[in-house]
Amino acid sequence: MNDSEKLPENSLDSSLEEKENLEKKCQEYLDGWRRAKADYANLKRETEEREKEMVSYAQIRLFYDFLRIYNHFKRALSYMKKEDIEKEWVSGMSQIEKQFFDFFREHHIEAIPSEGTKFDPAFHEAVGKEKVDGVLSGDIIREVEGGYQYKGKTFLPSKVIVAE
Amino acid sequence: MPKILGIDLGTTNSVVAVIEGGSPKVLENKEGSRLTPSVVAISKAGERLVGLLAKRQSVTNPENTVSSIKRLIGRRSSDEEVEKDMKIMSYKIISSGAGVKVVMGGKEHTPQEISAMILQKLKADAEEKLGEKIEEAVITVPAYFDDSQRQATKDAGEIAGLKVRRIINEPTAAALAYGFNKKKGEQIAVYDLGGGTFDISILDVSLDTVEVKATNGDTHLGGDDFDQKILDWIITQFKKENGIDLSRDPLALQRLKEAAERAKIELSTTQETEINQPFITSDAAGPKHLLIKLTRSLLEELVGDLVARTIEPCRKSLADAGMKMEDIDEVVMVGGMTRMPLVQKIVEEFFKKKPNLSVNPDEVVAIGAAVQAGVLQGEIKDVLLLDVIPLTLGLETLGGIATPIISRNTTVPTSKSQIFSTASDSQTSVEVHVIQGEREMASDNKSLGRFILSGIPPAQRGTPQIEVTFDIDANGILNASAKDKATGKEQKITITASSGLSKEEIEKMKQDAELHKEEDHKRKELIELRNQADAVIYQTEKFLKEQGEKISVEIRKEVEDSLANLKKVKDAEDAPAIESALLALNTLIMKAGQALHEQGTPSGEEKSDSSSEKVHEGEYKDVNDNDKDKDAKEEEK
Repeated sequence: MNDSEKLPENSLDSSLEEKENLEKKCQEYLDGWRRAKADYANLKRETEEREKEMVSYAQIRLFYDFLRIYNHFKRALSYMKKEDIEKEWVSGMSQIEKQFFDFFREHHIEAIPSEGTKFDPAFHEAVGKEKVDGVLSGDIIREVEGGYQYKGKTFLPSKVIVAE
Repeated sequence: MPKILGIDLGTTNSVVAVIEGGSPKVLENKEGSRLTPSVVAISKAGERLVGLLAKRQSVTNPENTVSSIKRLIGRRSSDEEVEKDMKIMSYKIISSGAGVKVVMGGKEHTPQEISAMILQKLKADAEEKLGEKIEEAVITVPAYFDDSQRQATKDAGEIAGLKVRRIINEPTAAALAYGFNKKKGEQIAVYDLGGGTFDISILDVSLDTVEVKATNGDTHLGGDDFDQKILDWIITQFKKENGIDLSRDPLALQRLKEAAERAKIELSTTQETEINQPFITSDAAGPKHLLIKLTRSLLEELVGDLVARTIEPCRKSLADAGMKMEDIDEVVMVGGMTRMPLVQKIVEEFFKKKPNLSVNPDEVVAIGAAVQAGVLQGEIKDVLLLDVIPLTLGLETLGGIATPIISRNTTVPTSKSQIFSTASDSQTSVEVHVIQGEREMASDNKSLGRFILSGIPPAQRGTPQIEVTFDIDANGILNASAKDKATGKEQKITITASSGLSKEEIEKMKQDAELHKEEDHKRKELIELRNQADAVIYQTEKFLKEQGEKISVEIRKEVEDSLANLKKVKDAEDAPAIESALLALNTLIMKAGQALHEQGTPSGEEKSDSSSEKVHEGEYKDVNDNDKDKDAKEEEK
């Protein structure tokens, strides 16, 4: 190659630089593509896990709505007088209540113990406080609305009155 | 690479999101909720509680339960907001130098320290959820926060062990969540109506920044006020009917507050709801029950003034930004209250634009913060930002039906293939008519192009396998191809993005599809029934031709009569009649087949389609002169 055929040095340098940049970009795109494929595979896996969670969440939502109605039923029963206990309709209501308990047991729902226990925000929500002689501060005097756990996790805390 | 958290540190609730697989995802806290109350407390036992647990014990321990700390962070003790809060908050607020401190558990804490406790819980719960350490975050603040408030929020992050990569404005984050940072030269209004505050911001998206041009609002207007209106109405109604004032019964009040909020939420999707609270209270006569109906129109009457209160700040912020309503290109909704139809209606009427609601308004700010975090981390690069197609792409099949190939909102680039076949015996060419839209009939959608694949070897209808592929690249260019699998012959067409519809047309198509959904569906069902009838008529005639002599005269007569009946009703508009005639003929064909079996004669030919893939039979018309004439006549009809 004679002098007239040689490429100018700076042209060669810039071509080499461009080549390097392009190689870098290619590697970047390849890495990005690999990552995207990996993310997709992970997403598939996570989607399956999430579907299971969604089913569980949907169940909890259903229980939540159902238990609000059960709490009304409990409230109704609390108005029963002593003299009513022998009546047939009361006996029937008790049987219905038993069906509720069977339902809870089958679906791993447990009532949260409240009255007489120590207030714990992990299980209880305080809706009022009262001064009661002989009761320690922080103890639960009364349950206003029942709370429940599903598979050991609180999803509806008990609403309680706490001793001051 | 460790993730960067996007944190919406709210006055009432906080939300956390991260980028996973290139998309923002909101994380649930330890209690399983996507919202974490911005509440901190020291219990009577000296235990620090944050979030839901702190909120649950607030009634028994108000003086040691700190909420709405965002109202105090970075403020001076002489600020009007601080003076107001000193009077109404259940905990003690004291001046400390130029700033303020709160007293909790007998100790003084700066608002930064309280916010840090919230951030610590958000960080810990996120780490548990993700299974990795979190060291950095992007935190959002209101657009009106001054330097002192922003610095204090950043300090809170540092105290919590987070390196705060950026503090961004909440309306900017909301815009980022919608990708509006790409809309250069546009003006965006962000309407944020949350639990306790209302904010309106006007943003200007320029070449490389999103600038807040103006902001206005009402620091004491939110969903809680709407609930209160409903609560007051319930109390009034009950008092009218029973003479009892429920506001004096704390337990009844607590139940009614929850019921009021539930009713408000339900009325966003229904016209009427019932507030049913048995045994709400009792008197000497016995228990009393509340059962009351609330309609959406009544709710709108009750809260109309609250919604109207948001308009003046909107007007002022536009004026401050030096803009008119017509200058606003997009409206973004933030906060749960924006789900209320009345709120959406008022916003649309004011800005003369449909607001953007597709991102969960409770989470949109956190999502935007996560997007910003992703950009900082390099997870979201412009070159890798992907689009979705706005409308379904498909092709026209037998009877003029629109058969979708790629559904709307599919991320591109992507490729989808489906196998089709011929409608008639010896059909040697097929026409591929590419359409765009959501309607069930091809003629109601936009035609993008057509091409013909010819040279298909003559065969029985349903035998050839024509693979149609739609391939869209990242630029929205569609390559549609049809290939005869037997011969390898292929034909294709390229459709550029500009062949499609404008933004307004897209919106109109979606609305039309929704409007005509039922009638389109009925029409499609009718055509599919007719196609089915055609296929059964063809099969029956073939069967009679090949096997007719082998079945008894009586059965043959029954089949022929039933066939004639189906031919008669097939072209009418009576879908039940076609269905009934189809069922009758199918039953008789089976009877005839059974009879043949019993005679010991093969019942007929085997299914010609041996492909393992799902084949859409008979979905092309042979494009020849006869058909063109026929089509022309049908069009004239």
